[in-house]
Amino acid sequence: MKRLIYFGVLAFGLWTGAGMAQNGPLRIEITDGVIEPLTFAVPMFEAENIEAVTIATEMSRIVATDLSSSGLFREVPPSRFIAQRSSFAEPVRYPDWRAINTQALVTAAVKTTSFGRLTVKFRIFDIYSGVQLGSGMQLSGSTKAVRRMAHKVADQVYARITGEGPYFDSKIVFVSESGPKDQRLKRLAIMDYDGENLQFLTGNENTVLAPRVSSDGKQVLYTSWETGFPQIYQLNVRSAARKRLPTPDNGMAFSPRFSPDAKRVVYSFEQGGNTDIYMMELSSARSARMTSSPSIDTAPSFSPDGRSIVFESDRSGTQQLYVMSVAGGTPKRISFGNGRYGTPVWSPRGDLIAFTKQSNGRFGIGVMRTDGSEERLLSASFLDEGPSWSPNGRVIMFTRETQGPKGAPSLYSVDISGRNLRALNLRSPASDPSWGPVLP
Amino acid sequence: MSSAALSTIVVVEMELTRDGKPVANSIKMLGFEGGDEISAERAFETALRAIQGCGAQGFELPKDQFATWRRVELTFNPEKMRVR
Repeated sequence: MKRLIYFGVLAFGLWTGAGMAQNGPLRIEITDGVIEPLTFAVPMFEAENIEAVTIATEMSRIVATDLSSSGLFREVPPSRFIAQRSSFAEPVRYPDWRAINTQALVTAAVKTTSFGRLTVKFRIFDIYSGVQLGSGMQLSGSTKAVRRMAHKVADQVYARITGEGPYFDSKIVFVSESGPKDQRLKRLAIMDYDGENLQFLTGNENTVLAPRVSSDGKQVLYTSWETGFPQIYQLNVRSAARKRLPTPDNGMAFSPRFSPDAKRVVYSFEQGGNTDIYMMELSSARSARMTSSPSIDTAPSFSPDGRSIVFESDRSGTQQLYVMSVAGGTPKRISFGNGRYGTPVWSPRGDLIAFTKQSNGRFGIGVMRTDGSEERLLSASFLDEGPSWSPNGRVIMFTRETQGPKGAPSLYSVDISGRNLRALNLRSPASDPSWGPVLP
Repeated sequence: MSSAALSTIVVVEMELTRDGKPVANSIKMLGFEGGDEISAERAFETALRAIQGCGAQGFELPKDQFATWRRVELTFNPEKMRVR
């Protein structure tokens, strides 16, 4: 007996031949099955006052969209509902929800006050078990932050049911592009994880590349051609104030990334045809050279504990990934598959490294263990590159560029299982995403 | 289910009625392996939903062997399960 759908519903048969202890329970090991998205329902949130009606409708749709977008949930559409709840306090009619195969139910009530404040209280129910999951929760905020509060509700539901950390209430910094392909204007922009609330952080007078958000989401490092050569800039997200990092003037500085505590920056510096990795203490503005190979060493990324970096290097003759201690020492090669590897990024959980792989004329996004084992490709196309991790380490966003004279980049995300590949719906071409933390 | 829960093996015990339905409140986690308590709890909840969903109409079991399957111990090992 080894067949049971973990999330789904299917026949369950027992064999008497399964392992059985005399006078004890029948013992069965379930090793085969299918893990399916969990079905959920979000009835329209109850509006506790007339001013909250529109907000309640908007919030319930945002929560449902967030959960569905994760790929781990599948919405039971409201048109199928049997139970039409009229009040948040009303008991849940479990049989009605079971009848339409709903596994989880989210109910909520929204109220506004005359001071521009909004309160949402919500509950999560496990329909099959007939119980409420945890206690009810309540959030308060500004009526101007409806989307954020809805993302917070969705985050709580997602985290409670899946056990993963939240990620819906987060921002992404990226390069917004416009104009013809050979004269593309590029400027920094920031948006919600789902593409809403887009704002520009820089003008489009100077080409910018590869923004990297700090772990607190307050600062961005990026590369700009403002001086005619690539140099690294640090930008304050709130004020948009920026300054050039004091890297040496006699070369090109690029590919920066913050340490987890945002006190240091690793970056690449090219001089005389050789590119090495340097680390700068932001407090003293002093840089120290980390690699000294006659090769192109670039795209460094810190481990979440700040003790190691992973980077790409062609020191072996082809572009491969290497890990080394921040304290120094010999880098250890971790990629050995067929093809070229680049733009490695350490997962915020510390267990995986995402990368771009070029093989057989195609580019793909993949993940591997930090020792290089268990490599898996999650995507492949004409050009997929530049992975960035969601704050919970479950989703990867990257740039996909289409082929041809009218080819343009856009942002995609994929679950680390390789499922749920989705394009972010933006109005203009976009590249180089950098996913910030969950907002406080 | 979280990545951590996907690498957690949970052992679940339940009792079944004569018509093959799980007895309410009899399903409990006996132990787990390969994860922490939170991931085990999430894996158990997933197993619970699967049992309740699959067993709602009663599992098809040989009624003359009720004594054999009245109590069942299930070990859920998601390592080779497919994600859809």
